[in-house]
Amino acid sequence: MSAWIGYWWETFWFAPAPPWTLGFCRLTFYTGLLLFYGREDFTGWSEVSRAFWQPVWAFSVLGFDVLSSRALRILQTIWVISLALAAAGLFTRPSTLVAFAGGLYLLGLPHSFGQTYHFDALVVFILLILAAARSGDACSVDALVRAVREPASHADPPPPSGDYRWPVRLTWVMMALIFFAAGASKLRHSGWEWIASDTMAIVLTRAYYHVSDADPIVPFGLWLAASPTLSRALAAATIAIEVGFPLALVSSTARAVLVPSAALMLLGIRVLMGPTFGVFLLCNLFWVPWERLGRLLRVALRLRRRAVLYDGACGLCRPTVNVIRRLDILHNVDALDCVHEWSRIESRFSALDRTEALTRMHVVDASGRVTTGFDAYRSLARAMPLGWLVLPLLYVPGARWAGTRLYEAIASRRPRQACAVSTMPGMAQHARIE
Amino acid sequence: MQAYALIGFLVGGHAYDLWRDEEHWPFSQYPMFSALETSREFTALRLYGVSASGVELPLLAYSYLAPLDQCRVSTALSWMARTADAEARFADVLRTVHQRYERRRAAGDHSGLALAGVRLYRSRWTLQPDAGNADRPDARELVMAFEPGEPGAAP
Repeated sequence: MSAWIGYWWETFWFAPAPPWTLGFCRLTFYTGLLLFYGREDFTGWSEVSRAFWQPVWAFSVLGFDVLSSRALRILQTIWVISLALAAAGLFTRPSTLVAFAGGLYLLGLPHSFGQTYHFDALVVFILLILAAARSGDACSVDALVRAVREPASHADPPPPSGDYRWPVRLTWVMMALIFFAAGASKLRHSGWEWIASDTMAIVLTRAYYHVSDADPIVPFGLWLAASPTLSRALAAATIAIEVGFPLALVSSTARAVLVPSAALMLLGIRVLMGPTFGVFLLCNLFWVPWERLGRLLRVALRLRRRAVLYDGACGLCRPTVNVIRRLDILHNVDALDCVHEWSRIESRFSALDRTEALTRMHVVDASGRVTTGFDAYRSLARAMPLGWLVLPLLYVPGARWAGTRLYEAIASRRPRQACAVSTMPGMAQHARIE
Repeated sequence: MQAYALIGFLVGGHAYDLWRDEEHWPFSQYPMFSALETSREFTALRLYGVSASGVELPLLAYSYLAPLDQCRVSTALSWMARTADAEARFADVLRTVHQRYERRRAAGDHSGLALAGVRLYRSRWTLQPDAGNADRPDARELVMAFEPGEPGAAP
């Protein structure tokens, strides 16, 4: 039994996960925070009456006080920049640390004025988790820079590791504890009467008396409150979701039910009662099974495999292919070295000419269509979800004209020891891909 | 090791608050809406702006109170009422709320009335099924008034 528990524990926290799953969570989480807080102005808190001041625990322990308006403006600017850098994965460790420190202060500050809201404490925890984790190993500018600067030692993306699993699982656990605590508090303070009494009906009705930070969006809550049966059923469902939420940690079936149910419950609270949970809902992205979703995406969008043929003796091509490998999170692209793997290439694509392949980058898609140079980059960008971020840029009017010339200019100057490089114009060819 | 330390800190901190029914933000026992509600009457401390002509405007909109909001103000006023220096706190709240309201009005952040003062009422409602009396308390009692002088002037 203890061996089984040990195995489960180890698997839960540290089963190897590909680095891009955590990297993608980092990218989307900080981007979401940036959208949510990018225009938030915290400077007004410097003008609020000290009569409201009631510092939260973290502020008391750390000795934080209200900063001046000017200092708050500087801090919020630094914080927003750190969120943007963390989203991009540029200087990931320092930027995530600054994002956590800034978030702890700026998100805790409002709660130190009269009332503690509970919608963003989880965000602070996740900021800490991502700052401590290796969240910049994939889907990050840092990873691409490493791939370019040190092509020999960073030829391949980091292998799957438990280092990319535990941060996501810790976020799950924190969210489960939050929901469980909310349900347990209700049972502790009110017992089962919280369900059996008119508590939910009263709470629903009172929400329409301007008692929350926002008013309900629709009057439907009053209709629910008018029915003792419905309001008690709603109370029972609330307790069931909250107290039962930890089951989502151990059962994929429970996860599939409870995680969406809890998200809908928060949306329901916003619509029927007023309190806002926007940034808490953002944290649900850590529950998304990104690997499975990637596989489904590949099938649904008919993302066919592509082979990229590059000059393995070229000092520019190898870093470029390293970058492609890091962007290719769905493993849709085979990178084949024309110098060291030509026999393999020849057996798959007999129509290709080696000299041509060494001259410019070739991409062969599943239908056998060959694209070269700038068009090859377009083909690759279509095949990789992370490439979709730049895909619109590759198709703006004039992009092909400018991109082709830029490619030719760079290709003609690339450092290569093995052979001379010509810059013949690209042509479409046909080959077969297995 | 680093992972275990962080897991222990975050889970332990949360479990402690849950066990002790205490709050140490960002850790919390999440007590919101946990009280048993039995009465359909409730009271709240509410701020009203007063124009020069005596028109009262409930200060509920976020744009009037920002960065505060109505819920935070009402909750904070309730705990202030239980403190020894409640009167001084209320006076400071009314003064600064008026000051900020007028500053935001001048900046075009809202289009509310120019206020000659701010009043604090203890209001009482009996919940109605259609919330028809949400903006008309059954009874209210003036707790404190603040009038800086000229209408709309910042004190």
